[in-house]
Amino acid sequence: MNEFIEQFLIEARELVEQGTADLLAAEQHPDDAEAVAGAFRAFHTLKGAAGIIDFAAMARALHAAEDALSAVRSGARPLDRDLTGRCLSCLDQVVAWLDLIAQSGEPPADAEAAADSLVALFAPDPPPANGPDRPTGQPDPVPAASAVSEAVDALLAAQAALLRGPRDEGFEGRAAAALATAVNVLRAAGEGDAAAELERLAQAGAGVADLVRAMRRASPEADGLPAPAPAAARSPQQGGLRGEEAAADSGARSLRVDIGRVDALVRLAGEFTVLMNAAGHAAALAERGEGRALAPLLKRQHGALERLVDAFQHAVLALRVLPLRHVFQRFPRLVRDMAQALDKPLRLVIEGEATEADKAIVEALFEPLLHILRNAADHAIEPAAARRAAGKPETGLVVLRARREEDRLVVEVEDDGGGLDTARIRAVAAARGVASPEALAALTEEEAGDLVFAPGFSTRPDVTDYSGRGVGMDAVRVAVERLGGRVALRSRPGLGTRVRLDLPVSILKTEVMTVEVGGQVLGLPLDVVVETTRIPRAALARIGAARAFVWRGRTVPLLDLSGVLEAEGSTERSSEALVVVTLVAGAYGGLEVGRFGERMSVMLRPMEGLLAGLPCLGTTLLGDGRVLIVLDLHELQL
Amino acid sequence: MAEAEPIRSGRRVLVIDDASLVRLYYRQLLEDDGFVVEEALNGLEALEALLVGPFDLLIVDVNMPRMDGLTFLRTLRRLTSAAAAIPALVTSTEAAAQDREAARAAGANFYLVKPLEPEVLTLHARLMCGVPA
Repeated sequence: MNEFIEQFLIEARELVEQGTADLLAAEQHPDDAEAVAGAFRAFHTLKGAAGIIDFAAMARALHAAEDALSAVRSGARPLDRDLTGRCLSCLDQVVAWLDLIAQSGEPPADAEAAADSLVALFAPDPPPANGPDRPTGQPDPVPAASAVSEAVDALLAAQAALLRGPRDEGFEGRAAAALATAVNVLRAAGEGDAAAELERLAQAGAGVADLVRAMRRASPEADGLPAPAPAAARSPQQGGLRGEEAAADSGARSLRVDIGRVDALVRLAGEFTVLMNAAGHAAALAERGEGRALAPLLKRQHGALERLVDAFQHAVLALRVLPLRHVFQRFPRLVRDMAQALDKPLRLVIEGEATEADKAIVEALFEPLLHILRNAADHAIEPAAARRAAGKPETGLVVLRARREEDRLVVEVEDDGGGLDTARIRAVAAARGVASPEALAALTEEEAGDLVFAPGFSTRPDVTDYSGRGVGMDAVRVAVERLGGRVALRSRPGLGTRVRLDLPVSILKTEVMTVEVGGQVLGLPLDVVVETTRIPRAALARIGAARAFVWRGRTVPLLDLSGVLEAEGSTERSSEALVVVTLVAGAYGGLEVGRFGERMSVMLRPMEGLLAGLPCLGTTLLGDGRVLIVLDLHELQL
Repeated sequence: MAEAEPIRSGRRVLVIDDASLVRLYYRQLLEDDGFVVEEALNGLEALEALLVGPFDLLIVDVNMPRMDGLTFLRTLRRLTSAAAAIPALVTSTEAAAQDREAARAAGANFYLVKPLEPEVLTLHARLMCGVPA
């Protein structure tokens, strides 16, 4: 993909986000001129970007929306829900196009139909006519390359027009610039004499008429630009200071890495270089046969490398930190759509979006939060009539907030809806066999509320677009636990519900290989696995109580993992032993396993409570909900 | 431009545009054509840049946050320094006569409609800087 397309995609996606945010802000606060101007500018800049990559269809569609927003900006039409919706549809199409471009590296060729329907979408209320010469994507009226002389004529004519302009405050500057430009153009066009004459006249303080004549001498019939309009038609305020106060915070919307964090990486890179040179030195020593000196040197280097790798991991983790804004900013649009689809007035308030956490956590939060917000919009918030009857404001309130609590990230979704209907939840749980009637009867109200997290629970008989396919809160729980977090729910009848996600701030992915031992699946950290191999049982040698085998000229002790773990069943069945060869603390070892599994990248949760003493690195949830225990081979006595 | 021009004119151009893609595009075209290019993201940044370095040409976008192109030009042309006389080329997506006229009234020396053919940009930049086309 070429550089322009790459840059285009980055910029266009930022602009879509900005445009969406500004549109929604403008819809909620029609008097917010900054939001309207921001939305207009986003569409405008997107259109320009589309033009640069020669994507005329996209430019055309955006142009239609931009015209409508221009009319809003000038006060000629209101930004109602309908128009906001159309503009958002336009951005949706843009996103679809961007995805196509990201795949293929070039603008789609068949975008005309989609562009036509978008243009038609904006057609019913045409904005004030701007003249027939507005469509973008067309070549500039100025002729290209070959017609140098035409460009020269047009440029000179424009300078003459500037000189003939009104004698207001900026005239001196404009005239000086016009003269400088005309001299340059004449000189570039090979009219050195004319240029010198013009300069002489200007220095002599010649009148405008003489100066203009001097310019025309080089190009007699030039008339590239229309004659200057009457002074009254010129409004200095037009397009004037409007944007000046609109403090652009587009920087906050894009992902930037703190320069300090980059510097830390640069420093570490330097240290790695030093260490690399030292390794070269060690190699030279080895070559000269100075083995005795080598050992302490390598030991020191190993220590330094260990420290460096550790520092490097920390520095890289710091790079991966993202503000929650990254996911939060997608929700206002989605909640708006939900509100419209459910025909419930909803207001989403976002707090703490600057809170930071590991990229992996932040990005993985989108789906669970979407589920929770859908639940809030669909189940929790009552229909407007019911809210009125309960003496609540018709517009339902949903608050999405994030904050740090020590080294935890807390994300909450709180609504002012009706709270959980625990009686109904108990009934449904009983009907679906989530728990026995006795167990259900014994539950406290709070525990009854937690039943919504039980697998396969959903209280809505009807399946709506937005939630209620029976995967909602259960899926949320699984997703959050997979991130090493917990989810809790608090409900106050008639007042609302709060769902609280408690998550780690950072996360390390570990590469593991799974093996099966005595019917149980276990994980081995991949960094200690050298290879997997099959050893004929006949080749296994008994050395006292232990066993060993010869592998690549080495005698390697073999450990039956099922024996170590006291797992059920022996692996003494087949004629070959399945062996994972490991390298732990410089020593090779073999682990006999029942079956080789697969390789995966997982997020480990540390062992807690009673399990903390076990020789395990941690646990992770497998896709099917089972817990995978990852062994710590350093701790396992081999 | 039939013959490629390897000679570096060394003419200094300030590209003022809030769209990074536009800046990148102009920079590439102009640098390939021997110009030295600096960038500003809006009118205010451009005024700052003008305090520091001399420029032979300003290429100005119209719609920008903080200070738009026309406000920038009006401010520029009222300066008492030599910067007031620097040629300015406005490039905008608007092609209507009233937009061209507004730009000229603000002090633009020429007006081109985006998107621009590469040769159109370099041709006008050369001419306005006094470099043979």
